[in-house]
Amino acid sequence: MSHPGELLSAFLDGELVAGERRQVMSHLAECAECRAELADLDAARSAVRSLPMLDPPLELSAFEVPVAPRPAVGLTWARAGAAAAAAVVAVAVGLAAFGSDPATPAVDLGSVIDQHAARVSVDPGLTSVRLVSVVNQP
Amino acid sequence: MADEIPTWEEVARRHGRRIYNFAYRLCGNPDDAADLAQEVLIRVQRGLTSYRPGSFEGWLWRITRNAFLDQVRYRKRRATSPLPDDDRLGHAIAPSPDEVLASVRLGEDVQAALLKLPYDFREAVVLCDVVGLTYDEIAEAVDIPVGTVRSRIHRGRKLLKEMLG
Repeated sequence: MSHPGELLSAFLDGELVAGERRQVMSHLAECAECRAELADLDAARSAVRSLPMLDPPLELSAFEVPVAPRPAVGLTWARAGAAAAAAVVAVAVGLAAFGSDPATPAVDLGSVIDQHAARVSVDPGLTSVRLVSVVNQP
Repeated sequence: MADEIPTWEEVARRHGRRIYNFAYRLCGNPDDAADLAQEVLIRVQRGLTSYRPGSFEGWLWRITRNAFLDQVRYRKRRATSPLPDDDRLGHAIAPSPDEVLASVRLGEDVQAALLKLPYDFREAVVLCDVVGLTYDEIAEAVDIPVGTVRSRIHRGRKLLKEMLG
């Protein structure tokens, strides 16, 4: 066969049917140029595959779990407290959703919830503003 | 799995990290990647009500890459936060040997080379070698023939090799 060209990448990926694979292998046995090209392709492939898998930021996971109906514009303190509780649950659920990948260290949900609960008690005004932004997500 | 409709929480748990990494490797920026991943999850949440059991990977990654392209177009219109086609390699300050070693360890040289690829090649390479999709799944996600997937991955890898030496 002529030089297999782009079949070489598919060969590396195991994406050729049996007949194509046999043809490529017999060509490689005779063609040093294509063996060198295959080595280059393998190096590029390995470079990308060895990139580390990155963990998404925590605020991403905490942001997007729908937990509560849209509150009225004027929050009473009681409703702000309920929203605060809902948001703590949202953070916990969101973190659990993203943190349970076996390759990722487990997130200490208790301390995260404690931190958020602490903010509720220390600064209810600030927290209720944050909560409006959380629970208003579509 | 192929016969069941997953819940949003299952999608986030099983695929959230890959979605984030797909976005990060395409744009090279954690903030943009987080925005994109969030947008994808919102779309998944909306789309799950109309999803019918089938190729979930193809469905999910079609949503993901469309959300990514929408974000790129949106930001280009607003001309605020430059995304993939921007040259992020123009900082010609010589790094120290330690910085070079750290860069190699973190894959920054590979990331920089990825960002220099034409978008179509970069997308195909990332879907294959970062996300781990088969050629058939990439073809479905990107809506192109499998032969085009093969060609894009091959040309992308050749260019990467040229850049990385």
